Amino acid sequence: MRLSYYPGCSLEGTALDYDQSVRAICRNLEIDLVEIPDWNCCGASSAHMTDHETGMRLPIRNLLLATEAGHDILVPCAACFQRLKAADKALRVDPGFWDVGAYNPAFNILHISSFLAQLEILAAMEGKFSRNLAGLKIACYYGCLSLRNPRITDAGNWERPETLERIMTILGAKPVAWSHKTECCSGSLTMARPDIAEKLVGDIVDAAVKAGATAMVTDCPMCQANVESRQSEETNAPAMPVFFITELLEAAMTGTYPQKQQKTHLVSPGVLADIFRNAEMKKEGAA
Amino acid sequence: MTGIVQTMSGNNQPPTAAVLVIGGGISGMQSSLDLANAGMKVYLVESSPAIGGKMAQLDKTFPTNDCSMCIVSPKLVEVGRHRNIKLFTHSEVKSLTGDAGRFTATLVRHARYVDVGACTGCGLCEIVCPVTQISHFPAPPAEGEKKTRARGKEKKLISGRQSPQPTRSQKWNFSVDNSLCSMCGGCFKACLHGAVTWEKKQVAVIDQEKCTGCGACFVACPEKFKAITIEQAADLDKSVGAAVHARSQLLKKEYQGKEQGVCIRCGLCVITCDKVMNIGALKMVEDGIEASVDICQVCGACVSICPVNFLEVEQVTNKVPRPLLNSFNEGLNGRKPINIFYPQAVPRVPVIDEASCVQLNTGACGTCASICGVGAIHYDHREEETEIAIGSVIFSPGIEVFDARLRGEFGYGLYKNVVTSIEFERLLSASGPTSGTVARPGDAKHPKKIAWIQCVGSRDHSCDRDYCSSVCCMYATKEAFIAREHDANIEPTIFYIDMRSFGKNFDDYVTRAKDHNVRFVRAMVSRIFEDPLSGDLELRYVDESGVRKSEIFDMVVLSVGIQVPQKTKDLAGKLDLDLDRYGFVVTDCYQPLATSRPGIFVSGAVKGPKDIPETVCEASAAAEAASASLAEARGSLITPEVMPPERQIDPEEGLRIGVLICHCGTNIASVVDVEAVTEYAKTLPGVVYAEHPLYTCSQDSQERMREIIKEHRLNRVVVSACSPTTHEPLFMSTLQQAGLNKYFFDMANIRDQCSWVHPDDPLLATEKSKRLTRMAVANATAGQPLPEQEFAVDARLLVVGGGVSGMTAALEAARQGFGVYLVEREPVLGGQLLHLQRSSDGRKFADFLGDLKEKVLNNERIKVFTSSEVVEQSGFVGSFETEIVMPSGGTRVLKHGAILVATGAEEYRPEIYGLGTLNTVITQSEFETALENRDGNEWQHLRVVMLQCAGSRDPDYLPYCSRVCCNHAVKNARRLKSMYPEARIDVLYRDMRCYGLGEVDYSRARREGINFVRYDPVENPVKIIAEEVGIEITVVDPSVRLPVRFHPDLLVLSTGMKPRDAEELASMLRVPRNKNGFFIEAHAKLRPVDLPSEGLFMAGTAHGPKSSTESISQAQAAVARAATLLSRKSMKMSAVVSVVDPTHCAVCLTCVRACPYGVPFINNEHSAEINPALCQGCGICVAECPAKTIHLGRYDDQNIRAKIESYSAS
Repeated sequence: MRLSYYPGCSLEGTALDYDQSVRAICRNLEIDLVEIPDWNCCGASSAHMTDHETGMRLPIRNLLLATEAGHDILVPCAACFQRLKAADKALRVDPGFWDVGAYNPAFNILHISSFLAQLEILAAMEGKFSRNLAGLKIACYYGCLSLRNPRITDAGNWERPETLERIMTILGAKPVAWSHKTECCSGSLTMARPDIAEKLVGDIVDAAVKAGATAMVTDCPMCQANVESRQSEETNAPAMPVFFITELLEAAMTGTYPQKQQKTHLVSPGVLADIFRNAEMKKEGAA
Repeated sequence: MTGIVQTMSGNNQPPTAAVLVIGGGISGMQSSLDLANAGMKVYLVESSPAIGGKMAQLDKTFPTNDCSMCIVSPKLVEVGRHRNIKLFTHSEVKSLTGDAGRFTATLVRHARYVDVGACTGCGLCEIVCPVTQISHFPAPPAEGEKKTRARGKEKKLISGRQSPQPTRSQKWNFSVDNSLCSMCGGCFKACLHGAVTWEKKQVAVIDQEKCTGCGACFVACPEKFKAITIEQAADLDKSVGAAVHARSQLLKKEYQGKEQGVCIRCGLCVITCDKVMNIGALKMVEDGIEASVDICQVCGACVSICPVNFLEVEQVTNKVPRPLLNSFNEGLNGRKPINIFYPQAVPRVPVIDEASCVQLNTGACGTCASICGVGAIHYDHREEETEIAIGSVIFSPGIEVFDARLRGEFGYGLYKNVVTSIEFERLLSASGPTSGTVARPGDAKHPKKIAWIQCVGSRDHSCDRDYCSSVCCMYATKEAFIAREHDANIEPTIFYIDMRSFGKNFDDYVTRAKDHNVRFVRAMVSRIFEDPLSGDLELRYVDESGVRKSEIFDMVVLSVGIQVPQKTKDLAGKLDLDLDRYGFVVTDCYQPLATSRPGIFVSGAVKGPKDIPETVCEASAAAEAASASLAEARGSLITPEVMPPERQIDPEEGLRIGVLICHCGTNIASVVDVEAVTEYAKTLPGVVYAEHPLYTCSQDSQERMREIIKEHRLNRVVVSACSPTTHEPLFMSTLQQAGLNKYFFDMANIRDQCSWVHPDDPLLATEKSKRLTRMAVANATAGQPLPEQEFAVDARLLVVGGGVSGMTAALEAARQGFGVYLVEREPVLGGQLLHLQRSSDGRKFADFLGDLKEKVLNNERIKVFTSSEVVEQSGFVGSFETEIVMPSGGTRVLKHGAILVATGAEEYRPEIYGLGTLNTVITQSEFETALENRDGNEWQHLRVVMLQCAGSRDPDYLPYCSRVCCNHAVKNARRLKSMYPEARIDVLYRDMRCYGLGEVDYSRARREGINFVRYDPVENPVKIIAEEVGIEITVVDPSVRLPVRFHPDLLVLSTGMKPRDAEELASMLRVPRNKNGFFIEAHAKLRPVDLPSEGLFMAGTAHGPKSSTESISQAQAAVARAATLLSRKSMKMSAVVSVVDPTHCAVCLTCVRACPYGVPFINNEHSAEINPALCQGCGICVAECPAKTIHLGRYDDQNIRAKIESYSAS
C-alpha cells in the first residue's frame, strides 16, 4: 500500500516524535508513505483565523500537489486533516471559484486513527506486537478537529467515536468509558488565555481520572501538547500522561519504550514505562 | 390522487365487504371495531405477537392522567373476541394484488410454536424455561455425520468465597439399574461423597446414607448405558428439565433470605447442562464447579436454576454473554425465549423466539412442551401463508421512537442513567420492569432530580428529523407529573424549545404541572457528562438570559421523537404507497385518509406524528373511508351474533355465587392481600366459588370466567376489581355468553376506591376490600334477571351545521347508504371556510367548497335545509325526532337514528390594538383575503408585523390555544414573501406551535427571511401603540437580548377561534360544553367524536379549534361512529330503567318535575309513566317518589338495603 503523506508543521516541531512513530509503524505494516513534495502550511490556526481566503488557498495548493500522485493522503495532525478536508469539499463543489480548472481526484483524505482502525489494518497488525499493554487503563481522547464539523470531516460518529478504543483493545489495554473524549482541549486559547486552558484541561483530566484511567491516548498533536502542558500543578490530581496512538503502537511493536521517547513528555509517562520494565523483569526472572 | 373509490365500472359484482387492517395498535383496533360493528368483515394483521401497539406500553395518558392500560384493555378484549374480526398476530402482509373493491392479500403467519387455540395463557412455559441468554449454539453436525458432543479444553474452577456446603434438602434418590450397568466405574469416580461402591467387573452400588443427591453419578454414567436412575422426583414424569425446575423452586424457597452465593452442591446446574441442554460443560469438583468455558453455549440455564445465586453467566464461558431483553419493556429487563408479550396481551399466548430457543436450534431441552398441560407447544410449527379477499385496506402500522444514539452528546447507550421517554413510561408502569418504582437503571437508586430534554430527534435538521413529533411536550409534562405522584421527592425539570401544548385542554394541563412543581426551562441542553463514580449527570445549557449553566441531575429522560420504521417503509413500497422524505404516508389535504393507491387508506402516526385521540379519530375516519365504497355489500360476509339461550334460574336452586378478586397486575395486589380476600369471599353465604386472577379483564380470564360459570352452574357473579364504568359492560357480556342474565352481576371497586387511595395501610385496605366484596355479594344475592327490550333503528342521520365538517359528514353518510338531513342556520353552505382562501398546499378553498356543495346538493340521499334551525329535540338513540324551523317560518319534524353536531367556530375578533377601528390592524383571515385579492406592486415593500396569541391564551380574552394560528401565520407570511420578496415580515410569538409536519414549513419560513421574535406576556411584553398616524411596536428580542422597535404598515393579529353559539342546541340535546363553549367528548382519549349521550356525535371546530383537514377527517370519523348504530336493524336498550307501579301512584307529578330528561308523563290511565327507551336510569325519580312506587332494576330498595345491611354485618 502506498499513501501520500502530509506531516504538517507540528510534526516537524513539537510533535516530531509523532511523525517518527507514524513512519515507523507504517514501515512495519509495509505501508509506503510518500511525502507530498514541497508541501506548505495547511492553513490552520493563524491563517484561517485571519483570513478565509488564505485559509483555503494554502490547503488547496497541497491538494493540487497531491493530485499528481493520486494516492490517499494520510494526515496525522487533526488540524491539518480538517483544513485539507475543508479545501477538498470546497474544490469538489466549485473548483472554478478557486481558479482550478477541474478537480475530481479519486483519493481520500485519511486521519490517522480512523485509517488505522479499519478492519484490514487491524488484521495486518495482529502478530506484529512483541509486547501487549495489558493492565493499562486508558482514556481515549479525540478532541474536536478530526471529527467536527461532520459535514467537513465525514466522521460517522462524531460525538462518540471509537476508533482509538478499537486500536487500544487489540493492544490489550483497557479503554475506559468516559464523558470527555471529544471535549475542547482549549487549543486556540492556550497561549492567550492560559486560565481558561487550565480549567478545560483540568475538567478533561478529572473526568479521565474519575473513569479510572491512568493515562490518555490521542491522535491530535495540539491535544497532546495542551493536555500535558496545562495540567495544573496546584490540584492534587495525579499527573496524566498523554500518548500518541502511534507511540503506543510503536512501543508494542518494538517491545521497548526507550528513555529518549519518555523524555518527550512533559508529564511522566511512568505508567507505560513500568509496564515495559515489569515485563522485562518477569522475563529476566523467568530466565 | 383519487381517494374516493369508484365502484367498479363495467362490473356489476358487488365489492368484497371485508377490510384488511394493517397494524394492531390503537389505530388499527379502533378501525377494526368501527368496521366490524358496522357490518364489515375485518382481517387485522399485527407483526408483534399481540395487539396493543405503543399505547399498551404507556403508563398514563395526558391530559386526563388515565391509566393507559386500563382504558385500552377493554378494546384489546373487544377486538380479541369480536366474531367479525379475524386476528393475525405475529404475521405480516406479503403481497397485495387487485384493485379497490376487490383486492387479494397474502398474509404470512410466522411460526409461533404455540397453538393459539389450545393455549390458556397460564404462562407456566415461560416460568419453567431455564434460558435467559441468546446462546452461542454449537455448529450443527455436517450432513451425514452423527452429532457428537464437543469436549472442553479450557477449564475454569468456580469456587466462590467458601467451599461447597452440600445439602440433602429436597434430595433426589439415585440408584443403579443392575441390568444396565456396564461396570465402568464412572459413577464411582464422579462421586464426591464416597457414596458409590464399585470394583472392576462389579455393578456399582449407591449408599443412600452417604448420598447427598447431587447427581454427579447420574451425569457421569455414559449416555449409552443410562444405568443410573432417579426415583420419584416431582415432575420427572414430564422431563428432567421440569424436575430440575421443580426442585430448584423448592430450594429457592428454602434458601430465601439465607446466605446466597455459596454452592450447596444440589447438582442442578450440572444436570441441566448435561441432561437438559446436552452440552456437559459443567462438573462438580471438591472446591466448587468446574466449567469448560470453551464449550459452554451461554444459554444461562445453569445460572437461572441455581437456587442460591452461586453462578454467574460470565464465569461459565469465555464468550460474551448476550442477555435476552424484553422488548415490550424496552430492554429494561430480561425475558425467556418463550415469552408472553405482556401480561394483558391479546392473544395471551406466548411466542417462541427462534434465535434463542435451545430446542429449535439444537434439539435439546424441550422443557416447555413437557410441562404444558394442554399440549399447546409444537416445535414443528412452520410459517403459514393465507390468502384473503378484501375490498379495502387500512394502513396503520404505527411508528417507532427515534434512536437516541444518533444524538451522541447525550450519551444514551453509554450513560446508564440516561433513558428514553418510552423507557421511562415502562419505569412508571405498574406492570413494568420495576413494578412502577422510579429507579435509576444504573444502580436502582431513587432519583431526586430528573431532567427531560425535549426535541431529541425532532425539529432536528442534523439527523434529518426536521418535523415536530407533536406529542413530546405533553408526554414529558405527563411523565414529570406522574413521576412526582409516584415519589413526591422527585424534582422534575423539562428543557424545551417551544411548549407545544396545542391540543384541547393541554395548556391547562401544563399549568397544573407547573403548580405541581414541575420546572420548565426554555433551553436546549448541549451536552451531558456522566460522573462515572456516582452515575450522576451534568447538563450544560445556556439559559434565557444567555448565561452558560451547568446543573447536576440524577437521571435524564430524552424525549425522543417518533419516526417511521424502515420495515414500514418497505411494506409501504410493497403496497405501492407514496411516502414523503421522512417516510410518512402522503395524503391530500381534502382527502386526508386516502393514500396514493385507490382502495388503500391510512391512519395514525404513520401519516404524520399525532397523539392518541387524533389517532383514534383518524382510525374511525379511515374505517369510514375504507367502507364507504363497500357499503352496498355491507353485512354480506359477517357472522351475526348468536347468544346462547338464557338459562332460566329455578327459584329452588338456591344461590350459587362466583367471586373473582382481581390483582390488576400489582395495582391491587401490591396493597391488598387478594388471596385473603378470596378466602374470605368463599365464606360468604351463597358463594360456591372464588379465585383471584392476575387481570380479570384479560381475554383468557374472561374465557375462564365463562367456563367457571358453566362448570359450577353459577347463578350470580361478583368481580372485585376496578371501576364498573369502564369494565362492567365487558363482564356483563361475558355473563350473557355463558347463558346467564347479565344483571346477575355486581362489581366492587377495590382499586380506585381502595388500593389506590390506601397504599400506606395494606391491612386496613384488605379489610375494606373484604367489606366491599361482601356488599357486592349481598347486592348480587338480591339481583333479579332483567329483560332487555329491542327496538328498530332509523337509518337516517341528522347533521347540524353545513360547514366543511357538516357537508363532508353528510356526503360520506350518504355514500354509506344512510339518509341524511343537513340543517344549516345560514342561507348558504360553507361555514368558516368561506372566509379562508387557500389550503396548506396552496389550492383555493373556493374550488373545493364549490365542488363539495354541488355534490351535497345533488345527492338524492341528502336533504338540505338552509336558513333553518333546530327548535325541538326528542327521542332516543336509534329513534330521534327533531323539529326544525324553516325560512318560511314553518316547522317540520325529522325522524332519524343519530345526530351529528358540526356547528363550527369562527374567527375571534377582540377589540384590541385598534382592530375594527384602524384599517392598518387586521386579522389573519382578513390578511389572507387581502393577499388573495392583491394585484399590482404597492405591497412590494410592505412591512408586516404578525402578533400571535392576540387575545388567545389570555384569561381576559380566549383562555385557550387555538391550535391553527401559528401554521396560519406561517402560511400567510410565506405567501406574502413569495409574492413580494422585498416585503418584511416579523412574527411576534410566544411558542411557535407548528406541530407535526408544520414544523417543516416553519423552518422554511425562517430560511426565507421571515423574522420570528419571541415575547412573553409577563416577562417580555409587546408594547403596541396603534394610531391613525402609524403603529409602533417595541419588544425585547431574546436572540439579541436588546429592545427592537417596529413601524409596520400592517399589524396582523392572530386572534384564534371561538365556537359559534350553540348554547340552545346543547341544552336541547342535553350534552355538555366546556367553559370555553366547545362540546365535550365522551372520553378525551378514546371517544373523541362521541358526545356523552348515546347516538350523538360531533365533528369539526365545534369540538375544538382545528384545521380544515382535521375537520374533514373528524367528520368522516363521526360518520363511522354513527354507522355502527345506523347500520343495525335493531338495538337493545338497557334494562336498568325506572318503572312506575301504577297501583300506588298518587299522580303527584314529583317524578315529572324531578326528571332531568323530561321523560315521565301522566298517561290516560291517570298514572305516571316512564318511556323505557328515553329513561337514562339515573334513579332520581325513584328516590323522589313519595309513594315509593317507582322501581329501578339493580338499584331497587332491596338491593340497596342488602348492601347497607351487609356493610355493618361482619
